[in-house]
Amino acid sequence: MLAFEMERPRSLASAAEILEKHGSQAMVKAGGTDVLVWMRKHAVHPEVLVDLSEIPELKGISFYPHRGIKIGALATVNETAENEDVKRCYPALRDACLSHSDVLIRNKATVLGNICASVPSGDLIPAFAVHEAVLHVFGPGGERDIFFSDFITGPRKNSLMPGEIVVSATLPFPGERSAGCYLKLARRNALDLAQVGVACLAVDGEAGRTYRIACGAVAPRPVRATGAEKILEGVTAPGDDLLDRAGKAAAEASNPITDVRASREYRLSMVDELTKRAVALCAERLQGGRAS
Amino acid sequence: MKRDVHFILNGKPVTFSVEPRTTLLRALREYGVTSVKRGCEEGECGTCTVVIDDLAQKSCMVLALEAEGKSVLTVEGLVGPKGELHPIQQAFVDEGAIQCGFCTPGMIMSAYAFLRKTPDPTEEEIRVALAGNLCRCTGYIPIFRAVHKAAAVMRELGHIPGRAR
Amino acid sequence: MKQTVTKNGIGAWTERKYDVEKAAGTLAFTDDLRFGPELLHARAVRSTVAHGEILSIDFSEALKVKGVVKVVTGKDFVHRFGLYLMDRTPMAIGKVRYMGEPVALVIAESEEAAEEGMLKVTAKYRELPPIFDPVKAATDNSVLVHPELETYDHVDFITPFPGTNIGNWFRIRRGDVDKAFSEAEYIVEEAVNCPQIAHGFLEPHCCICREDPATGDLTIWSTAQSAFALRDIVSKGLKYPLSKIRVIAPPIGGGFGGKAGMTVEALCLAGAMNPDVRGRPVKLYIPREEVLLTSWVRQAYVAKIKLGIDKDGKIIAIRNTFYFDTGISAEYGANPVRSAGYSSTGCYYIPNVWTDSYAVYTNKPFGGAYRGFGLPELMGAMEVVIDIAARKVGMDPIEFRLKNILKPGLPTCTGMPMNNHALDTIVGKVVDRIRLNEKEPATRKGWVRGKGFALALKAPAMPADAASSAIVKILGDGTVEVLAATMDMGQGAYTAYSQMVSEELGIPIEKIRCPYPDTQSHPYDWQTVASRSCWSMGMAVKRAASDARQKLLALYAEYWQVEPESITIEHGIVKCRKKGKAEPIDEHIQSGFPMPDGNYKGGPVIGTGSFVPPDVIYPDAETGQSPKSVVHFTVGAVGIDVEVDPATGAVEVNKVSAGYDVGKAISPVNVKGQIEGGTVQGISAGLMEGMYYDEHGKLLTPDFTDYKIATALDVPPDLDAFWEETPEELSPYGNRGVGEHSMISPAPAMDNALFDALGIRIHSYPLGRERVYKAIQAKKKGETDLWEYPYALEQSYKNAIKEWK
Repeated sequence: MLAFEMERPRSLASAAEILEKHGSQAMVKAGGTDVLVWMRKHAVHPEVLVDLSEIPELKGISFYPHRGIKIGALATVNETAENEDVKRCYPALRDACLSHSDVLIRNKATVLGNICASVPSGDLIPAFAVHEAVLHVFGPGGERDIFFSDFITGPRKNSLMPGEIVVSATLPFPGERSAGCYLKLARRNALDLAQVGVACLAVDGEAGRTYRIACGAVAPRPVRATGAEKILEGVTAPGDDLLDRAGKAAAEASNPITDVRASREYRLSMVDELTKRAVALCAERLQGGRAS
Repeated sequence: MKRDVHFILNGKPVTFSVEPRTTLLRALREYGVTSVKRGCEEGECGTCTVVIDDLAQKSCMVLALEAEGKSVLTVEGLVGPKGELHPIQQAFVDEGAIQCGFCTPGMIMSAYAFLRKTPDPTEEEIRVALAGNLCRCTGYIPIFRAVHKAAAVMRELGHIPGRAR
Repeated sequence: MKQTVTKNGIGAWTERKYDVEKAAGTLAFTDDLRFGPELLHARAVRSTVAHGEILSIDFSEALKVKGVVKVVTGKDFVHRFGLYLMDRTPMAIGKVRYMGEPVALVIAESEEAAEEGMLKVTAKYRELPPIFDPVKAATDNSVLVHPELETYDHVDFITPFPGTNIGNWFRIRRGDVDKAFSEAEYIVEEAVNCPQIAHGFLEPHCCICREDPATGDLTIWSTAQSAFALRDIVSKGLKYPLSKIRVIAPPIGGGFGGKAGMTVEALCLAGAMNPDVRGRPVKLYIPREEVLLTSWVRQAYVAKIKLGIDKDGKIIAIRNTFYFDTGISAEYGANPVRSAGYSSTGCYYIPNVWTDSYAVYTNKPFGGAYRGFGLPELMGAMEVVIDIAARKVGMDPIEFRLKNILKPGLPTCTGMPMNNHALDTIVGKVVDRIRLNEKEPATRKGWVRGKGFALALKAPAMPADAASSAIVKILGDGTVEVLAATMDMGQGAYTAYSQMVSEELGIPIEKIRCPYPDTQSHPYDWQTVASRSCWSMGMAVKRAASDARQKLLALYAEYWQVEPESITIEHGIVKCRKKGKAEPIDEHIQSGFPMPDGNYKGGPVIGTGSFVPPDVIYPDAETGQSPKSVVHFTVGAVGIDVEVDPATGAVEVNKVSAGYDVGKAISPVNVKGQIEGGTVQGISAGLMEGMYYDEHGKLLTPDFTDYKIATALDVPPDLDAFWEETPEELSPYGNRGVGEHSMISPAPAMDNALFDALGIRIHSYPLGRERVYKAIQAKKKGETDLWEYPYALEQSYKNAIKEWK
């Protein structure tokens, strides 16, 4: 790893000042489990690493009944997985947390760090997509919110402006009668990157059943399988035909690459399969009268 | 530029002078705590696992400066004042859970953090807890046996959660 | 009369040596040694092309980095090294032969400075066409990886072919295969392939070298399995006197063959022996992502096997063609090629044999020793082909195997009689324990289940004159020091030796120590490889311990004025019941005994023992025949019960049963450990492991991010490890080699289980999820076999969509 300076600001304001001062020479880290690997592999060379881990405003997870859950930039993956409100209302997020890497990395890696790394295989990304998360950002221009659908713009690219920091994210309350899951396929059973990851959220609202489906590791940006969602809309117990059509639609929305982890063809087949499974699982959970 | 970092290492206050790029792994090793092994230095093997404020962490994924004010426990810190092994260490010895010994310190630290939180684990819970620590020699099976055994011994001895030993 | 009594002799379940230090974290591995501020650090600069002439190497910018002391290149250190064939230079000289080959070495005051310097070195190349496909390389000489092959020294028992890419060609010619094939009722001809496999030891290579500037004496501290072989290879490569080289081998964090012979040490010496550096210790730590680019891995292979079977199901002829992809060096890889060749009828008696086993050079990182040494490759193919053949003949695969089994006394393919074994008992137990003949429903919804079986066999693969020696010293406090230069890399050799010494001396194992190897203090041992140590070094240790016992008994006999036969040693106490004597061993044993005649006699009691296999004869170069080609074979069997998710290709192992005829389990805790650990390593290799390259020869799986090995969640819930004990005649206690065998056959057993589950035959390892899924899809289209040629993958990779536009 090449040399760099490190700043450990104790407030958001101070972090912003440091970032402004160093401009593109600076890079932020929360848990650091991606950034440290990138630096070690000489993929990035920041002159100043701004460690956010001492900023109190970025800590914690708060649940606001009927409105949503707010996840701080420093909330680790394990902290999120173990949060009672997450367990109760955000099973797709919890699944995604528990599928991520291994228990040790999850003690360090943050949920928002996984989002900000914006790597296509990021496990938390599909869950954020189906929950239509909103990112709360602080920067030289003050505070702003970014819809998650506008956030990731390509592999390792996102719409943060220079000097901006994601402070927290809100995942709106999905509704009392909802079910969610994240299904991941990898080369082995733990500590691996997703070959394909599919998150599904099914909600029984006033207008009937809706589904949200998102696929990870299969396109430069997170894929919302809106075609599949439309096919399933209103159907509480989708049969095999409908599931097949939804799976195909999700695959059509995907554009994966071939790499050493999986071929494009396998990924396309697995988007199809995991979508069917995820939808069926959510429908089954709601069928059983078990909310979430 | 080197800076000082102060933390508690195995129960004793220490000050290291480190560069910002120095990982906790490298800093501990430089200091002489060499149970913390360099297996990959990219978070993929677990041989550098330590316990920081009750959480098992891969010390290659922690910058030394981040340890400021924290409590860091390594496998050396589990050994009692008269050289007696911790029940987890003893169980690893008794069950043939050690072969080359390179993954052992990290594996024991993962097991330690896990058993403090989960004193009566299932087999599946043990496997999940140790999934971040690779072992190439034993096939893990004797390690699972050792963790089960250590858990039983610790429950019997009344190892109190929240205390180092 | 047995004159020694101990609780922890041969066969006892004991605590393992050094486990307490390992658990406490206090055992120092090579990277843990400290050398003070004089220590320099080295880092390799690596080629960016797979094959090319080096036009220039510019390191002027590197020398400007603060802390960089020196940059050396291949031209500064022109020496060839190799265990069997001297085809390897630690850095490329004039020409690079694989992407990632070291072209320069940056030496600096700190690891960080060396790393910064490494990034500043640039090299220019004139690219040459590379060759990656071993079958093509073997048959088409348009690209030669080693045009200079003719000039390389090699041992007599390997056969390189200059002017080709063949680094070794091992042959067996017995009987008349053509005639037998023409008479056969059934002909089965099949092929199997597998990519390179990595050892995955958790401790990367690390080496520290220092040259004494006054005497030229070299000291090497290294992660070495074999201190003496390393010394020998360095001595021959440098043309340096053996006596001026000292190798110190601290404990190593896993070897599996990956730290045998000489691996990274010459590269470190290129730094330490440089005139500008000499005198200062130089440390070369290989970062994980460079391990597979610096030392060897298991060779990839393409194996073709043709069987001729008569109407009764007897195999009457076999024709084998094995292409081992040895990468750019066959210095070690030439021998697994031979090992597979001289075992090439597997566990079966086949009268007519034709085998060609080739080590083929390609422009890839190189192949060498890996647990199993040619046999996981051979059996990975053989046990699959046998399964196919049984079905073609219409016989139950177990019945077919038993019908053709290599019973004790029958000739192996090299003509030597098979040793005693209990393979039939083992087969019976494995079949029962996984209920091989019972079709059981899957335990997971929507999954399918299958069971598979494979036999295993292996002999220690080593030169005929692989010798061992040991020294047993009885110290003045009644403890014992055993100098045996085996590397205990986790397999438990020192525990086993302590048990042997305890057995021979009646001293409890707590009082027995085995220090790690140092060529300066230890007597010679060839290598810690080949599952040979408890057998070969075991002979030496047993002889040394009984030598010490004879000396001790003679001294006490004179001291007490009794017959030596009336003395016993019980739990460390020397007794003569007839005279009512019972004394703990004390300092008389080192200082001498005051004898009744008034004189002192004795002095330090030291036992010595040496051993070399007395009767091994190299197979004839033309026919491969020999009255005794190897010292013995250890045999065994594996049964696997798996389930497959047909919608994703995911495979989960329900149960494994694995048994081997170990002759005698000296140390049961370690025998169990070897079987359990090797079985999981074999399952891991079979299910998920392989090294992959892009079309330019760039390794895509250099580290644990993409070279995946089994985690705690990939291990079967039920692993039944067992052994039988049919004693070996020439052996310290009847024991045979057992270290490697468990790694050999889990993969083919899994392949057979997948066939049972899916009804399609997969001919390519590993049996990863994507490949299994592909097989399931192929089956739906009516295919019966899935064959994916590893190098065709490179071609398809070339045309794949690899990046988003």
